[in-house]
Amino acid sequence: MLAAILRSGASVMFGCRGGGCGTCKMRLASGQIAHGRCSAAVLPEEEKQCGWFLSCQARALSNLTIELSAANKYRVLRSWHTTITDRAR
Amino acid sequence: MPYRISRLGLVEIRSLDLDRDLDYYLNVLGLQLTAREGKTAYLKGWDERHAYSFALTESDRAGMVRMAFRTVDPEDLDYYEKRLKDFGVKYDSIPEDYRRGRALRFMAPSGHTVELYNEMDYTGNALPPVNPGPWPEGLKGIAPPRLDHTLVTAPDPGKAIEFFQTVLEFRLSEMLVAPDGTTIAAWLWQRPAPHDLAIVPGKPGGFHHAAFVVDSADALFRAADILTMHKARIDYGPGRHGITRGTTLYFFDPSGNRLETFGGYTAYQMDGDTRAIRWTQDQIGPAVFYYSQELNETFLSVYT
Repeated sequence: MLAAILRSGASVMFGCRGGGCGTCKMRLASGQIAHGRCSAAVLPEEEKQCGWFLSCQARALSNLTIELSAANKYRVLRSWHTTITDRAR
Repeated sequence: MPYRISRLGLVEIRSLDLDRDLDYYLNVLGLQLTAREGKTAYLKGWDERHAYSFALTESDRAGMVRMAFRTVDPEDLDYYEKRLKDFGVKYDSIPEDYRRGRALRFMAPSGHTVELYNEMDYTGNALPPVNPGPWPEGLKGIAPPRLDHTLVTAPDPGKAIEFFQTVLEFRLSEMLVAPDGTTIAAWLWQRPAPHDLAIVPGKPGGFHHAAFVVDSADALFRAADILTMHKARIDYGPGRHGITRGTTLYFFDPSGNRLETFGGYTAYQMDGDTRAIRWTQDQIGPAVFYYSQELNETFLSVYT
């Protein structure tokens, strides 16, 4: 799904592209997905139940509506002492 | 003060899919497989003389399981055991591990499992022990000769850095300092190279990367070629660090753990009384990525 989002021209945050870091976490508003292999440390089962998914691993099984949070779009991380905008929970 | 740790001896990392990731580690990164035992694979660079330096264990998450440092002499293990007791650090004495002798295992204030050991099976490198050539033929992938260092995250870096300095007698080669004088991050050494371990701010037990040696600029660019030919995700580089002066290429394994090929060939030599280099916080950009002079979005926030 991340590849499709990037192909569409949208600019979203992502990290390792391996399901390990959780940077590309998004929330599904409607539709069906397959999660793929994701680290339980960054995507616990409870979050999956609430619609969260890692876009770098997930595959669409139907037409989807996705909610992007501020964390998906923009973060300022230029120093370890700079305030870090919260990631999607 | 004599140094008692010869190098970072082992990093163990979690894999979300061992079959898939082992293929990457053997054919793209190009490590040598020592053995696969159940859910763990034991690996090494072609020029390493002991049984393994890198372990990959299947898990439901990515990140670091443990890091282990090899002492110079067997007696150094007793020396450190006494220091752990003197400083009131709780530790376990592990009688043996796969092809390895006794180890001391404890939790550092950074939240990482750390081990000290001396004995591991001496298997030799991939060259004949008599009249060897300079490198073995038939290597696959990047094929780094050996493990170099690891960088980990800590919620209170100052406390973690002090632990490694005080209890384990690591020295500082370089440090990043806030305007109020607080140490934000540090690069620590025992082996006479710029670092065996580095600690930066972040979550407890976080794994930022493990680095393997490459020994020339050609090897660094070839590594980037190989990763790209295999569509692996490169995070940054080829480039150069201000800190350590090493050349660098950061990339991710298929489970999202960050790895580095580190060109220590451009770095400086340490001497016993070499004093730490200070970087001010406003220069964090060139300190980390010398040529681009600013950090990318992923370097500080993306780790496992």
